[in-house]
Amino acid sequence: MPRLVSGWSAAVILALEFGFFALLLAPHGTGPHTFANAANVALILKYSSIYGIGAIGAAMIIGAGGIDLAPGAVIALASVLTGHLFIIEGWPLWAACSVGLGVGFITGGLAALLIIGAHLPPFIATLGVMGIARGAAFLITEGRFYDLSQRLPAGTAPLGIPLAAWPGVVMLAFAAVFQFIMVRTATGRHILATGGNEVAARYAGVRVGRVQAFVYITGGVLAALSGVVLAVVQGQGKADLATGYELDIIAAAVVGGASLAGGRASVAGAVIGSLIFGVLRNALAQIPGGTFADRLILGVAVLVIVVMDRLATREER
Amino acid sequence: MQPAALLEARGLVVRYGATTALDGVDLTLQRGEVHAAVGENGAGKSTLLRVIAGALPPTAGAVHLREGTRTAWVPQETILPDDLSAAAWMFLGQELRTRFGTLRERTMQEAAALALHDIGCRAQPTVRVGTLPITQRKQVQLARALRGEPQLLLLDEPTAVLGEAETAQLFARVRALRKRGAAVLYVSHRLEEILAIADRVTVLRDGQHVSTDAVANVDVAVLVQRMVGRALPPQRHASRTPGVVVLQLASAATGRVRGLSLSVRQGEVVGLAGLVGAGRSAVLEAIAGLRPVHAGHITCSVAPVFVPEDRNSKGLVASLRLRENLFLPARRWILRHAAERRDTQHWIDRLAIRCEGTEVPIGSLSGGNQQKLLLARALRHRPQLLLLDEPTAGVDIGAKAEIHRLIAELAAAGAAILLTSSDLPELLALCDRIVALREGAAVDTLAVADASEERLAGLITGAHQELTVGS
Repeated sequence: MPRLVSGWSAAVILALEFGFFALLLAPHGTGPHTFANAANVALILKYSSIYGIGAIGAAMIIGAGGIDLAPGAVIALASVLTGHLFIIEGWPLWAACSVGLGVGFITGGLAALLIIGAHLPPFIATLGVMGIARGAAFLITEGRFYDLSQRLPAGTAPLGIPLAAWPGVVMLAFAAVFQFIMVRTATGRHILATGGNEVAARYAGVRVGRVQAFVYITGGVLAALSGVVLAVVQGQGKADLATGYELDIIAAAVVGGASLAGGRASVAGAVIGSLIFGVLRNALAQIPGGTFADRLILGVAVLVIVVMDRLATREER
Repeated sequence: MQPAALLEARGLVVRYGATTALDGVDLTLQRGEVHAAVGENGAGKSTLLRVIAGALPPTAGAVHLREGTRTAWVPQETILPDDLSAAAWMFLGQELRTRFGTLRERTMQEAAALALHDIGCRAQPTVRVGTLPITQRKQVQLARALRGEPQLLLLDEPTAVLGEAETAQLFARVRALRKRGAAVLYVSHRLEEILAIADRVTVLRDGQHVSTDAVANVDVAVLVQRMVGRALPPQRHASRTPGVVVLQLASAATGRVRGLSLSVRQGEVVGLAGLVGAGRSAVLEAIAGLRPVHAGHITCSVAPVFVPEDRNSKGLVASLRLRENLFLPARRWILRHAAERRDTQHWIDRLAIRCEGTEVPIGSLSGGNQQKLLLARALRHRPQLLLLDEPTAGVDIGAKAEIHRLIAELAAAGAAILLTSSDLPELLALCDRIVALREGAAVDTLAVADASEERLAGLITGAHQELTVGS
């Protein structure tokens, strides 16, 4: 029996979820549908992308047998640095964004160094990086808040794409690229081999160190990308941003098919996982009192999906 | 149930979907008997053991066991929780407690030390199981089973990872158990051992019972014939002319090994014999570049290809499919699934790997076929220097013969092969020269014509008298 939780089944869950809420939130009598309309879908896509971009990285890291607790802090640091350089230092936008991305390279590289060089367990190494990144963000802002959206002319559309659509476009574009890498390239196979059995992969000739460096640095850059996008599109550049996002990112990857034991992961699934949570959040916000149940329902949803997957695949084992 | 019988199994059927693992098997175990079960892989031996152990409910049939019989089962796989100490593992679920419920650590450790000593294991009871080499892990597994003085002992390939000395110790304990009236069901591929230890032997083929005889009434040839349904020709040792030296060790030191010098030529098969801990795997790993060399030199004029021992933990990746395990690392950056499937099928045919296709999970393959897959992965690289660590551990007799033939073919085609094995007859059958290691140093190098099982056993254990094998 195929795994319940995988790219395909996650898509089915998403479709069912969307249909469910479309029915639940259908308007009484005539009037526009508040949930199932194009603008709301675009909104869902935009907000899901903040997690979704990070979830791409998380899927690869978990697939390689690791874990990353730093994404939330890196999102914050990247957004804050981009904001600071653009607004306070007056850098051109592209330069500020590039440095923001560079932050992800550095934090990812630091994690890789600690894990590969110092042989620290990934949990501990990325916990440390999380602390350093978050601390750096607070140091830079000194409590300030940067809002880039005020500084950008209305109707700014880099590359012809309206600003508000950028998060979704970035997420889908990178999801396509990394899904391809995971499924159709040697890198993807080596990542899953490393996560499945690191010793065997090493003996077979896989360069395990390189694989790990790749996933942690990529994960860092993707998280930083999320932060840059947040800063530019949402105008949010503050140090306490994205607190706790790493857990939602990991949950999205797991719902999308990643196994925390390593060796199994799906980038497409992770993105769909982030959309599942995005739809849930959006729908709950439209139900009176729904936002209070937000975290509770999300937690239960993750458990239900993963337990169902376990039960469905019990036959295999 | 008969009065002297400890266990009676009738009409056992085990079916997984379309596959029938056991097809109506009957078995009776008497008190004070060592009963062997033999058969090729897929014949149903391990399945039978699992059903009797109670770990697998049969599709049909029943097992009758006297009430209150203390049963111990030692499965084939040596997978233990790495972070527990040997003593903790041995008493897991059966801990000795004080009146207040706290653990009696010291008593358990002393009992564990005794049990380990009885089985001939030199590991300390406080050592973490994960740090032990596989042979000692197996001994810890056996010690746990034997400690409880079982009345029914189920052993699945217990000697696959044990050397001569460890096997002798195990047999001594098994004989002691038998004397006390216990029944032992012993599944193994090693037919000579079975003839040495068992009282009766049952042959299974394709899930069916073929015969049950007293061991005195059969010999290896008869058993093999019944297992495979045909007679296998005896192994003949081909003569080859070796070429240039492709591997040279000059006073190399790595791990426990020191001052090792040897050379391997093209077309030559050199064997490393030694007890567990003698350093054989370390030598191969050092040659493959997976372990540092702290003195001397290792020179290879060609790239070595290494096939590790312990295929489950060091060889194959369980989460990847057959084809993906074969093409690891992948050939080119952009994968071509169709081409890979085609080539995988080619290797499956060439090495006669019995499987349901190229996309199956490797867990669905038997041990012998998994080993062949691992070899196929190595052969993909067209190796001119092949390093094999225990290439036929836990592999059935049919697959073992196929692997031996393969090794001979490769050597005849000009490959240089360095292999280790705990199976002395295997070394004698395959190798041109055998290097005997003891505690990290080479004791002697023998040409196969001058070597014998007794002489090799003596060299690797350091005994100067001639050893006799068996009871």
